[in-house]
Amino acid sequence: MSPEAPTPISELDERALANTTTRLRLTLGPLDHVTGDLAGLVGEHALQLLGMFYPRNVARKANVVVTELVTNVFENIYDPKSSFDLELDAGPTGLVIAVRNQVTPEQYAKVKARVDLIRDTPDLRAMVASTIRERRKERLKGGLGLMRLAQENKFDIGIAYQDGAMTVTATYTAVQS
Amino acid sequence: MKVITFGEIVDGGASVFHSVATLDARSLKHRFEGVIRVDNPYRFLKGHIDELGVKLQELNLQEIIIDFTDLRFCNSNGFYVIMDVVEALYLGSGDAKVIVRRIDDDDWQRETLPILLNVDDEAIGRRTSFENVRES
Repeated sequence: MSPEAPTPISELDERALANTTTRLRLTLGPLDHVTGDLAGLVGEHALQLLGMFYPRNVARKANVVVTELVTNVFENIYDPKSSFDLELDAGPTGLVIAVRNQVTPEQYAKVKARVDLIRDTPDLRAMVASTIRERRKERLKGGLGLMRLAQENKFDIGIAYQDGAMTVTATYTAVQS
Repeated sequence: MKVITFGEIVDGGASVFHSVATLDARSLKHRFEGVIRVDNPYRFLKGHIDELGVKLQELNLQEIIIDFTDLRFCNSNGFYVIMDVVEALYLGSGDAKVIVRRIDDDDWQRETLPILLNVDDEAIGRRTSFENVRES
């Protein structure tokens, strides 16, 4: 069986391009070798890459998620000699981004409590608003990233822990037009 | 058009973010341009925020246009400086009406920006209108 002919460029409109499948895997370690803004670098890469195929809004979502999740890895390093994994899957049905890194059971419990709170709260916008105002008073760093992904970018946040590694997964289901 | 005050963030030796207030008659335009990715943006912008509060007292403004359409990214650490700047603009301008220009399909500008502006506050909400801009 011979392969199909390529799609003519004139037919590669937004609808056709949105059916592209994109899978990106990154494993990087040891963590203590990273001295620059890796979260920004990978986030901007995701923005540019997905921007070739998907609506700009979807590419921007990926940028925010990658930036926030990778930033969390580097702000909560348990083992500086360990590595972290990033997996990004994009396609016509949406976007799934997962980040896995080594953490203590206590660190995992703290993040899980935050994820549970996000998933259970009846008014996420109100919670984001009050959290921002509370934390601003003391200029506290962090604590907003996961909420932002859920409230602002409409991701469903999941979390798992296995063999000392925490995986945070953000899933966005595209609205079918 | 006259520049009233200007702030910037420098990252890795390059200027990556500008916050600029310009005056045209009794209309003030405040533009945010670039990306906020640094860990502590307040360190770069404190002087600008303080100056903005002082300079606005001298102006009798009719209108403020806050333009976010060239702000390409804002991390969570940037939320507070955006709040600082817009708070200075609202507090220092009496009852001047405020027009907020934002990108139409940008999640941050649609969802989080109204929280940072505090438009749920009745007095602020009454003065504020949004102009939604489609990206070209």
